[in-house]
Amino acid sequence: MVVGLGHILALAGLLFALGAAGFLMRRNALVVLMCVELMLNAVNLTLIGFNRWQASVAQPAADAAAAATPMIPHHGQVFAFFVIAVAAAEAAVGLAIVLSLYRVRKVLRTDDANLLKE
Amino acid sequence: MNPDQSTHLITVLVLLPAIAALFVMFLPRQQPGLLRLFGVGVSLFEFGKSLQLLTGSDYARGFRFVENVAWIPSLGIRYHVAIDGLSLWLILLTTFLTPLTLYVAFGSIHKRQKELVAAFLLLESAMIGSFVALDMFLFYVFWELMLVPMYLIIGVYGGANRVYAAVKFFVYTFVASLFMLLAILYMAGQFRALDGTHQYSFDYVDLMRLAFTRKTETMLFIAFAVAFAVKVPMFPLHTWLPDAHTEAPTAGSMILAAVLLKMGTYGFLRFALPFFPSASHMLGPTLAGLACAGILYGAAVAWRQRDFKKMVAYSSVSHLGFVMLGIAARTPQSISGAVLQMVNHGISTGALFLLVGVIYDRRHTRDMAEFGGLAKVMPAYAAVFVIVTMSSIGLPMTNGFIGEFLIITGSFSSDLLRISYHCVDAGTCDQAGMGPMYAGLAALGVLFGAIYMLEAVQKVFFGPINNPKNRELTDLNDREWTALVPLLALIVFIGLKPDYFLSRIEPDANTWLQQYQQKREQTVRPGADATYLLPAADEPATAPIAAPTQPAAHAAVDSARVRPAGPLAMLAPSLEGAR
Amino acid sequence: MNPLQPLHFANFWAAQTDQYRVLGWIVLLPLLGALLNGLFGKRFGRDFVYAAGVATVGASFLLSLLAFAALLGAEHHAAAQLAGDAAAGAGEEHARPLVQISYTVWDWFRAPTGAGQSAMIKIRYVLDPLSAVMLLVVTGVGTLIHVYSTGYMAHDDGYARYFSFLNLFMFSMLNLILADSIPLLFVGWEGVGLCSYLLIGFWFTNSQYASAGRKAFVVNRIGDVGVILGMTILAWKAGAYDIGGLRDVFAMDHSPAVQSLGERVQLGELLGRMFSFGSERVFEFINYKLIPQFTWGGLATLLLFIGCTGKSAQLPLYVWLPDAMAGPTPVSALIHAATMVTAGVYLLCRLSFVYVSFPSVMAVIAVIGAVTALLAATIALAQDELKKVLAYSTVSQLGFMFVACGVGAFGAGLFHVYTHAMFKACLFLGAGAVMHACRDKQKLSELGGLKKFLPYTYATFAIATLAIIGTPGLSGFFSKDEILFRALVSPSKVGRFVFVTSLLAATLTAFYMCRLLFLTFWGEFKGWSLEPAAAGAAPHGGNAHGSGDAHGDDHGHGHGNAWDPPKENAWNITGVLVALAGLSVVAGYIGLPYLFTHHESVIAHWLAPAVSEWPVDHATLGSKEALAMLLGVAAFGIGSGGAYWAYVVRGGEPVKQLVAAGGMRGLYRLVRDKWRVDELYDLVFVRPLRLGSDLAANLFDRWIVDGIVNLVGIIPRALGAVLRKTQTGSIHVYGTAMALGVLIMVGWAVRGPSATIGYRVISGTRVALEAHGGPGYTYEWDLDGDGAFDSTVADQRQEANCTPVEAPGGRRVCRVGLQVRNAFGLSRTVTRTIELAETAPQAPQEGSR
Repeated sequence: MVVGLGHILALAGLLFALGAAGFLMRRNALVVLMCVELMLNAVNLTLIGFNRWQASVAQPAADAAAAATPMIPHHGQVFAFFVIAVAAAEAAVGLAIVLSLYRVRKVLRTDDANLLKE
Repeated sequence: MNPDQSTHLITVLVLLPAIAALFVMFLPRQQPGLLRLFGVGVSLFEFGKSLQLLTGSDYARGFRFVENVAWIPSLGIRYHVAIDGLSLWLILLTTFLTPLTLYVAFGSIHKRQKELVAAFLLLESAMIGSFVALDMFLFYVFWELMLVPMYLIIGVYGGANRVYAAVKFFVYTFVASLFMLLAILYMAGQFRALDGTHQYSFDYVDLMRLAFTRKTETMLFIAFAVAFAVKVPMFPLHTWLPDAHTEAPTAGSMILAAVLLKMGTYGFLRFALPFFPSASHMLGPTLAGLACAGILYGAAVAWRQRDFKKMVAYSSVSHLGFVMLGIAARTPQSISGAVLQMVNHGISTGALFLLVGVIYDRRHTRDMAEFGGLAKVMPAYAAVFVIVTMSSIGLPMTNGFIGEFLIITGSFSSDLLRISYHCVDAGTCDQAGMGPMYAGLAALGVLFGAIYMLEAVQKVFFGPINNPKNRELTDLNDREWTALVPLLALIVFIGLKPDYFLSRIEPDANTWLQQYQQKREQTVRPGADATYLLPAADEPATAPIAAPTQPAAHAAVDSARVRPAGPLAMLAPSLEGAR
Repeated sequence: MNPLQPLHFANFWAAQTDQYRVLGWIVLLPLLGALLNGLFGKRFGRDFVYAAGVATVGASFLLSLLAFAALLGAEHHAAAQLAGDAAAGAGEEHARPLVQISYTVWDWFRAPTGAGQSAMIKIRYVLDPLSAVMLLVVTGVGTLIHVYSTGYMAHDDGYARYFSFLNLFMFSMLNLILADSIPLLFVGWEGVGLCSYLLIGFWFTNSQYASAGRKAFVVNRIGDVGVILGMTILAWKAGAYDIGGLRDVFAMDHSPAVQSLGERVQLGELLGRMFSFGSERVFEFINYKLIPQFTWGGLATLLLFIGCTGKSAQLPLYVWLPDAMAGPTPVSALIHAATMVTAGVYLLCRLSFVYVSFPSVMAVIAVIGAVTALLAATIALAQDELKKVLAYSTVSQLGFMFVACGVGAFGAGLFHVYTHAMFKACLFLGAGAVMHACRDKQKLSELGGLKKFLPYTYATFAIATLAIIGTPGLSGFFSKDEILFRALVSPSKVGRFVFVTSLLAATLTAFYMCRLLFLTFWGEFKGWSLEPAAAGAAPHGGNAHGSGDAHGDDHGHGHGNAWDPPKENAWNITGVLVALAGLSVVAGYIGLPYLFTHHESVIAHWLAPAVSEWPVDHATLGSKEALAMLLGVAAFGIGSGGAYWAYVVRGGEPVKQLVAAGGMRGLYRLVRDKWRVDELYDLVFVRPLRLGSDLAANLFDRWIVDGIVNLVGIIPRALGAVLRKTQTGSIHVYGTAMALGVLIMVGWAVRGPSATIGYRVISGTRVALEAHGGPGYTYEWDLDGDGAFDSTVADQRQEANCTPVEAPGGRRVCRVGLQVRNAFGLSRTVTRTIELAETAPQAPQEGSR
């Protein structure tokens, strides 16, 4: 069986749903962070999937000028890299916050972390 | 007409104080002497520079010292500045009073003088900017920029209740001017929708070409009028003024009363009326009525004040009622009188606040009941005060008389202040000139002025010295003299040779009136129930104006074109097929 | 003209009558004095101040004489020229022309004269026969009083301020007199008001005095409002501010300006229309009953007259003058008797050519003058203070002047101004001398018997009294007689009433003035007992007039011991008294009645060209004149005789009985309380005004106007209070909200576009179409109704000719279609049937889905 865009999107959607649900339901800050990572990875999947699909549907150019530079789209992958980088940074910052929170409050429950309110 | 533009005189005038303000920030706080020297020096230089504005303007007409370059081309925002007879003297008033007020401020304010200097210089830039701006966006920028330094001056250097006063001042004027901002954006969008270039434009000349439906025009005029009326302040939008004045430091009150209030009246004269002649004509009597109400009401309330500064503040409401009446009357003399009266009020009321500050510095109270018999211990002070009082109640041979007289006689003979009554239907009404009635009411204001000012003078200066605290008061010191003498000189000079000033105002007042009347005639023509562009000054009159034969057709064409696109769409009242 | 004509000195003057600098100096000198005294007086000391004060005014008096001579010269020159023309057969005999000498200082400012026009108001001084008389009176009396003041203020520390104010007053008064335009006259008009304010409150440490000054200023301001509006109307209708211009306009026959002055003021009509709300009866009531009918001219003249009533202390605005006696006595003499208060009469004379054409207003003036004269005279009967009596007598005499103006005898009015200036100044200065000698005592009950202590003062005071009560042969007799006569013969419908009233007033005048004389100078001196024993009871204790501590320490006279008898004053006081007394004897002889001389009197002839009057033919009215004179003398006899009988023969018994008698006591009280007019005004005007202002300031402004503002301020605060509840701070809540938002946006995006067609028929089949869409939409049109979306322009707005088709009912309609596609490629299609109207375009119509 050939893996098409549909499968990838389905998987990505599933992952995203999982991440979102976890993000909304779990109270443990670490878990929440991981859920966020999960959602980001889902997005990566869709990006790459679309990129692959676009490459497959792209027609070879007729004229020589285009043939000289065959069009192999890779925007999706580039974006995926961006997202990975951002995710890494986000994870770092997030973990730092969680740590400092733990130092201050000796808890990891997110709903105790509402100091900024008022 | 435009002598030597290469000097960029106006740009210099606008930017110099701002740059100086920036520079002040780098001066050492430890040397207040240097700060003062710098502040006063720069503003004095600015004044000297601004005197060059007089060169081009003997009996000249129209805009002078024009500078017009693109600023934000994508939005059609331009840096378009110029002066004419209506703004000339107000600019000179600003540059004349700023060094004076700064100098006075140093006498009574000793904390944070660095920021004080910066604030005043920035304020000067903003004020001059709003007087010269001919691009509505530019004008709005300066208009709002004025609030910031003034807010600081009141909120930082003010009295006990300063924060409340500062916030009230800021929010009151800011909210009001948002209406104007909406109106400006709408007009810019309309221009884009109607003009061939499909470009936004905030330029005064371009927006002057817009002609609206009666309904739209009225709404726009009201939007402008609210913004300006709050600044003036016109009854009943005046209540921010007494608080601001009482809490502001002496220098702040001076500049606030002398210049900032003029922004409102100037705005009416420069923008609100010329942009919307039909609407302003329709609402003219209302405007004049409010002005007269302000004259009498301000006087009555001023009469019953115990706080010296509050009294002067309410007297400002009364005096600016005169100015507004002169503007609403729309005769050449009443307009020149109004402009001159703006200057007069700036001088007289500025001097009054300065004088109130004198005893406040000595006694730290403004309650008139605390004083009495001061003429015995401070004779010179009393003499100066009486002179300024006389100017404030419009005694002949002082500046006050000329303005009030011109406004009263001008509004008396105004044939634009008409009301319609006994209407059979919209078309046929008996019309009656209301000028005489308004003039009569205004003349009553002259009487009330005498009542409250003289009562205040008696409370403070005459009678026995009952309060022992007052026995040791010292008379005017050199600093106060230095600040007062120029004001007194001007009071007398304007009273004796007003023609020197009026002859530089009147030509432009006439031009103003001609343009106003012309646009009014063009926009009140039958079947003009649509928004369209009047022909530019250079291009010949096109169909909508030239051929009133088939107005319906034009109306429809115009109305089909008026829908502005993009973000401005929600501002446009629906003219045809609705949602 | 004829070169062989002998060179007359008049030519020399006449050569420069248009730019005659002396006039400028006459006005300027007192101002210089004021500045000198005001700025440096304290530094340079008394002598300097006296010198500067007197010298400047004296100099301007001499210059006035010079200018007067110049005017005479010019007159003579003009007369000679006329005679020459007549001799050369230029034509019939001319009326004597109006000769003027003028000096223009500079252009003042340009003021509107009616819609569209404007006129330049100049600072220009003009000397003509009318202003010449006033000029000489004012500078002459002014100089004398300045001299007097050097004696009177000898013990006062405020001398510099005093002389500076006095000089400033002279400056303003001269402005008023010589002004050639009403606005410039108004400068002097308000200027004298200011000086009066400053000088009444001269001893400002006494609050009463300060209030008196303020009252004077405010009451005058009421009149000034009238003047402003009056001159505005005149300029608006007649098109000129300067008196020359107005005179020209009124000299023209049927000039449009004068006719427009005759138009009715539609004030009543206007108010009626505004407030009748359609009901004709209400309108009729407001227009014809409520609002009196005016012509513009009548309104203008009346308003100007209101100004005169303020300045010249006539009903209803006379109330400030008696209080004005708080000022130093020389001030009362100069400002509140001789000069300033006659400004009203002067203004009427200046504008006589306007007034003569408004008889109804003239009638009002005459009646007000007569009633004021009588009322003030009655009040003067019962006053107990020297200066108060004189004050009310001044009001009364001013009433006489207004009577003269009201019956069209402006010249007679001015003649009375002139004589009155002499004897009333003399009387006030005499009173001042008495107070100066008696330590400011001025209660009649405390004076008396001063005849032997103050001989000069007594003599002069007596002469002046005789003059004012119209003793035949003295100045007052001639002027008052002329007024009575003209009232009797005037064509005015109120002439008789006015005549009788003035006659009564004249009688009372004689009575109270004699009473004053007797109680002050005859009988026994009651000021303080002259024995050393009673030294304690002596000095300042009984200060009259609450003249109070202020006057006490500012003005404490260093007389010798408490029990010394009053001494005659220094030369500079008595000298002035003598001079003025002499003048009040001879002054009248320039106005000898026609009855005696059988030709026009000097003053009348002199004023003729400058002052318009209602003509009166002396020749035929000799009997009437004799009657008037007889009655006048009778009034003098009865009044003075009655006073002599009551106060000298019966020693004041009758008055005591009168007071004792039950019936009359109330009336007497009322009169002594000045008819309680002040209290009335306070009740009717002052209190309501103050109450209203209090309400406005403390209730309306603070709680209603500002209250609304603060209310508006509350709204966002409340909103914020609600919204912040949603900010729980819990990540999960925020996250859920975000998720919901995303869902909503996606749902909206995939729901597909909405399409609506709005249209307007322009003409025929020409239609303007518009699709109301949203962001990211694209539009395709089917304009010819064939179902294919084939419009060349895929634009939100279309303007095209549609293809009409016949619809049932014979209507012509178009069918247009629109396909809208949104960013997701989802599309929606609508069609719209357009009713083609053959007539004018229709109102916008609702599109359909």
